[in-house]
Amino acid sequence: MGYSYSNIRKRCDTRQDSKKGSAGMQKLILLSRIPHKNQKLLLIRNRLKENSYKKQMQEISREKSADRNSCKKTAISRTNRNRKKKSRKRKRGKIMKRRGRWHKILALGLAAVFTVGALAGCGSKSGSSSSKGYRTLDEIKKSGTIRIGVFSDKSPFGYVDDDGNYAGYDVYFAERLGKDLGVKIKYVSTEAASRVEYLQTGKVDVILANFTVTDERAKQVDFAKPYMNVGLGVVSHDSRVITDMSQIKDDDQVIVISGTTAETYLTKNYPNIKQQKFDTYAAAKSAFENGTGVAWANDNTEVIAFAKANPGYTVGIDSLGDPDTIAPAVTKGNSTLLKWINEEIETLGKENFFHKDYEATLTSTYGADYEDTLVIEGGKSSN
Amino acid sequence: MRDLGIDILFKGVNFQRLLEGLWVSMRISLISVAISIVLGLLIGALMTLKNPVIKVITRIYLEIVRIMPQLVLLFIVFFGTTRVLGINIDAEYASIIVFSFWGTAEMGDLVRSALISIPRHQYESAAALGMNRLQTFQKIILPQTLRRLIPNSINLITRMIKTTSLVMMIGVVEVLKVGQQIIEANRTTDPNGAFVVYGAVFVLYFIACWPISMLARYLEKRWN
Repeated sequence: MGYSYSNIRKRCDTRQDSKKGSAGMQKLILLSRIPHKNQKLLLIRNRLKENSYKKQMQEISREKSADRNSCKKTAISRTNRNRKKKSRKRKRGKIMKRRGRWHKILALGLAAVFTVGALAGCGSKSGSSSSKGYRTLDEIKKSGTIRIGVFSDKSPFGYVDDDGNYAGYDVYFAERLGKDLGVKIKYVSTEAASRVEYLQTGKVDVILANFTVTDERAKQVDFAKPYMNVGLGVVSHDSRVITDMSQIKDDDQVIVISGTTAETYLTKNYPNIKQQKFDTYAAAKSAFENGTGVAWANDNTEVIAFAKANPGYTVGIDSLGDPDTIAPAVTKGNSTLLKWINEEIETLGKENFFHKDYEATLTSTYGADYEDTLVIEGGKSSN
Repeated sequence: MRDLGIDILFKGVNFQRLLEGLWVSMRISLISVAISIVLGLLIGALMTLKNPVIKVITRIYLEIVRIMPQLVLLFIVFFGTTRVLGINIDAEYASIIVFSFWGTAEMGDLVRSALISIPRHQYESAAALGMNRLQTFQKIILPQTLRRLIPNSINLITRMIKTTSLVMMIGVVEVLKVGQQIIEANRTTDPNGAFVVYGAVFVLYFIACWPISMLARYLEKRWN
């Protein structure tokens, strides 16, 4: 151990050697532990002047404190216990006081930052939504922009093409809505799970995102008249086309994807049919292609698209059970906008708008054969 | 090119869209990271306090962030504020708020652990040299804390960049969402597109995160 400052060392030694006068010793210890201002610093500094100053300072201070600790232990153990406790408490109190002040300043600063941040964040963005949570037809017209929630990755209903523009069956309709309303369209990319939220918070005016009408959803949003059918479909191998569910024998298996409406429907209505369940579309597809099941039940749009893309398969049943419909939805209570959309759909029915829409966007995926199965014209199912 | 299907990336303006998506991700994450580092240092210092009130508050804050999935926080800030307070926050601002909220808590905890890992004698020695609290903090404690912070905070920062993929749930179109859009738009013509596009997204994330790890390594070397 190299001591580069002997005064402290000396003090330690004398302390250890002395056998009386513990009070005096305490004073000494205190002095060495709480260095007051420049006195001690100067001593050390003078000794170090020739060396690189900063590094040495740290090194030494570390050494010193270790040294001091060892001194303290031996020295203090011989002194009066009470005194030791008292002095320690006093010291800690002093340090705590200083630290407390320092942290108080920190806390205040932090609180200020948070408050300002919160105020700025709120202040700048508020005011665009009215208290009722939606914008009426007049308000939309006045603002010059309608916000429409669509899918951006559900080809061919709502997607973004290679040029970065929204396209698809839903978007084709949305474009027409915007045109007839005389406003610009701001598309909002929505996910299946957040469609209801978007409407309830009034962040979009209309949802046109392949939104299937269900009783549960109808409690939360207002659906306009439907513009498309969806149902379940069953695709099977060309060698043995299933056109009726009764053709499925006891030891035959039907492929379904877990969590889809097809699974629920089959379990409920055909409990005797054995189901082969897969988690993903890709797994179900390869299993079906490898001949695992005699048929594959899924949304009819899905099975139709599959049969069209893969030769050797036929959609024997294109509408199983009660068909569901797809309709535009607005925020609950937004009656002016709802009324206008309903009238618009009826008017468009006269010019066979949705058939044109189908031909423009869906024919390449589903073929012309299913046009009348899928399209609803003028808000009324034709079949 | 048929065999690899790389041309899907360069169809139309696809590549430019991917880059724009990456820019959105980086903008959200880097702004949040900057806010988190500043506030995290302060929160971390607060967390070392013995004051019971501050202790409880910071503790609750940290636990909320730990327990709540970021997705839930995003929904709360984006939809919840509108529903409860009637305030309409832009999706990107909402993301920045959530990511800063999350980053500050985790950063604060890292700072706290780094601070308490500094041996007590460092404070005492500084006091022994006649430094006041500010000087001690500036000259002795902060440099050592920062050095100890580097590896952990780099983990946090890269994690924040990667977690931006969640913001697509509140309608922000970032790099992963653009990737999905490209895959879906070409589903029929290019069934292998998913592999190529996700590969490209991987490379883009890598390009975004790699410089940060490099910087961290450089700093660690320099400060040691």
